[in-house]
Amino acid sequence: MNPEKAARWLSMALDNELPEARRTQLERYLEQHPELVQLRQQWQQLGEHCRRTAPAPDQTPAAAWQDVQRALRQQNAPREAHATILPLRPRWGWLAAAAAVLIMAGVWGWNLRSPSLDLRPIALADRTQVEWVETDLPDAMSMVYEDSTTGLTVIWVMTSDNGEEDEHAG
Amino acid sequence: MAAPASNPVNRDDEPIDVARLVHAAQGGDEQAFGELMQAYHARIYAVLIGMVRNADDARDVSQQVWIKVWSKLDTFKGDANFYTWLYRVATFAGLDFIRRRDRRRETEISDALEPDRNADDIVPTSLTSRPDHAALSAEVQDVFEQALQTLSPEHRTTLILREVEGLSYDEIATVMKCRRGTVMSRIFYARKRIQQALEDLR
Repeated sequence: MNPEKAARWLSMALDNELPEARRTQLERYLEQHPELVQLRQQWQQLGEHCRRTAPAPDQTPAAAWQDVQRALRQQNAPREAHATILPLRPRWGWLAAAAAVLIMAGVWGWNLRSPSLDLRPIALADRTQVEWVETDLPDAMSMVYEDSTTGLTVIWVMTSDNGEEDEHAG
Repeated sequence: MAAPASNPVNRDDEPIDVARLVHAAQGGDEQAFGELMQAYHARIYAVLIGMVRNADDARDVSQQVWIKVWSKLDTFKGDANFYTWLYRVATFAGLDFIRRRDRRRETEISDALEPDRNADDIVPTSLTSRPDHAALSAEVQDVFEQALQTLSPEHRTTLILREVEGLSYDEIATVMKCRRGTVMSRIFYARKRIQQALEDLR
């Protein structure tokens, strides 16, 4: 057995992970190599040191539990509801957003090409004849035009004193 | 630690029925979950402070762990020990925290003389007030902490799970999702590294 292998076995023996047969073999080796006995003592001290440097929490479990409950309520994540949220990783989130934009742009573009859905603004003003007429009402203005959709003549009466507008169709 | 992780006790040092509490907590019983937290709180904190080496960070990560445990409890199927599942959640949260912290420090390196020696960590604040720690010289503590900091988070975590929590190699392998041989190597390497640092001091 070489020193490196002996040290590995020693480490395992300290953790009670070395099979019994190898432990016996190691013990025989240690009898002839006192430097490894010293190493064993130092590693044991190291373990004690690790345990000593693991302080108890400065918060009681009850206080910690209250903090956790508070945080859970803030997150509004009741387990009873079994609400399932599928979070997207950041890079997939960007991809999803880009895909959504592309889809929306495609639909809009297709609609522009489609004769059944003409989304271009209609120049109603060009096709509507508006005429201002005199009225007997004080401080009032009247506007008359023919509604192209219904075929009715629309008369708008706007008064300036209270901002009210009246609409009459005939 | 008063009792092994496999046999936790309540605040009156009475053994608790972990399986019953877990089942109740999975059904939304907050009191049952509180009892589980009571039983394992100190252990999870011990693992985390061993990993992150800072009391405030350990407390923050510990809280995150318990929130995660509550929200993920449905995924625990009972085919493994609850404490190994719990340690796994804790160690992965701790490792994730360390990686994010290290990345943050890399970007802030110009502000630090030594990247691993921030003023608010190295020796846990509560550690300095412990009477049984008075015999250790500040120099030895410092060297020990430096040596621990030089270990990778995985090596440090493996050592803590073994030396502080007393988990077996198989249990550590389950917790850290690695092979038993990897656990053995990590512990051996960590011991040699820290031993070497302490010998250099002498």
